[in-house]
Amino acid sequence: MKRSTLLGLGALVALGAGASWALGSGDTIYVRARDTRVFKDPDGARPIGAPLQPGDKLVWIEQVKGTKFHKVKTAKGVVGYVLFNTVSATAPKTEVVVKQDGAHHIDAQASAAYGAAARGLTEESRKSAAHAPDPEAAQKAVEDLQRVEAVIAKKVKGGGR
Amino acid sequence: MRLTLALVGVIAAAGPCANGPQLPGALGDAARSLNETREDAREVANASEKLKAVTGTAGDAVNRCDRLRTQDIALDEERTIGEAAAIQLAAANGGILIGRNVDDPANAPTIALNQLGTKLAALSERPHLAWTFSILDSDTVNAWSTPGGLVFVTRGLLKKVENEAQLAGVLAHEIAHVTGRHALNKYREVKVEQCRNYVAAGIAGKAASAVTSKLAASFGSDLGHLDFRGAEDVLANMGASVAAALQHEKFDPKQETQADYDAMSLLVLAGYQPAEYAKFLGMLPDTFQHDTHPPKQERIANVKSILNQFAKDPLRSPGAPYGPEQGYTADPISPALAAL
Repeated sequence: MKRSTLLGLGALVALGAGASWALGSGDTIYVRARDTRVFKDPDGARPIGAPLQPGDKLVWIEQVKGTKFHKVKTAKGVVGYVLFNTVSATAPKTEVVVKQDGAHHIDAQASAAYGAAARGLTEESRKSAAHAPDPEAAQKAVEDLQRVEAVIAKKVKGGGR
Repeated sequence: MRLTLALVGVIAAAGPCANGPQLPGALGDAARSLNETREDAREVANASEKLKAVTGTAGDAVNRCDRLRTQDIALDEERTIGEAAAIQLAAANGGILIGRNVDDPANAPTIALNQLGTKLAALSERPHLAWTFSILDSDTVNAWSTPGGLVFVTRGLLKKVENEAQLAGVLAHEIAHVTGRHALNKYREVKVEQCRNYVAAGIAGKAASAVTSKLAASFGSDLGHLDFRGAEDVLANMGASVAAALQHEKFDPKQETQADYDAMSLLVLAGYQPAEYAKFLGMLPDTFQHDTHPPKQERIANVKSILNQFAKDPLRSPGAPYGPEQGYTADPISPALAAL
């Protein structure tokens, strides 16, 4: 594929590849990346306002031609620019949690708060190793996975949440 | 789940066979056999009556099991079954390459892999999961993901990749299976099978297996949600089933197509040259994931089709073309990973 044909793909994918619709000024788009910054100018130099989180709604204003930025307005009324790959035309997928009064669909932010990002194996999965076909190998896998989780939390940017 | 909880009662009600009068020799054996046969018949009749009283008909019970096939899986259940499957998948594929403690220099490959993986996952449709990327100590060329966001690549696969974009393609494909909840379909089938086994045991008036009985007792709500606390043997059993399915069964072709589409999208979003993924597939032996994925040539054709789709799309999105200065990268793989 020619380089020139690839150059325009990023924003296309970010805002709905293959979609048969077109966004119009005033439409709602969604934050897809954690700690998304809104910038004063379409250059990524000066962030304004607090970081946004997955699922936050934005009003789409326009794409700034020749750049990687979209002009948006936040729920707090701040007008600024966001990188194309931090937003999406569709909301992040919801999750299901079970509470005492039944099952509920929750959004991305609530998922994170609920513990979707909690690191470490659950007690029941750790204990399940003793009942695996090869308990010794399974127990070692448990210990190794726990160390992987610990390494991510301490050594990988964003891994510890 | 009311049905299965009620079935526990049905099974519990089926007591041991009563002994007949003591007669000598073959006559006694025949009499005991006859009594046991009559007792079995009575138990079957009793169990069937109780089952009907609870569920209406056996068909209703089976239908209720089938509903598990379309029910949502709760987040904690997904993560738990994913972990259980991951443990057994790792145990069966050489174990995990990781240092002895958090500060061990041997962790460098895992850190590099997770830096790449978490960057991709943050752009996915489920950025909030606790994504975990691990290296399996195996010479085979393969990659898997389990529900909840646990992704594995083998050391053999890492030796094959020529650049970071190719590895990103592999990870993005696995991420897409998780965001699409594809492996959960395999888990749902396991649940349906266990539920049906339980119903069948109830109809036959026989005690269900220990695993199935515990499973039935674990159904905690009308959602069919499984709480595995105190039922770790059930979890191990079902985790083994999911791990086996991931290693030996194919995903739905539509899910594979979707996973490739989502993977290519993630590559573009992250700035990686998506054509490198097609190139990597072409470099692999025909046996690569042949048990679980479409034939290699079919996958390559699909990926190329997606690339063409991207290129030919009329760019109805208002964001295109944005014209990044640097284009898409295919930088060398991290030295820590290349050294494996």
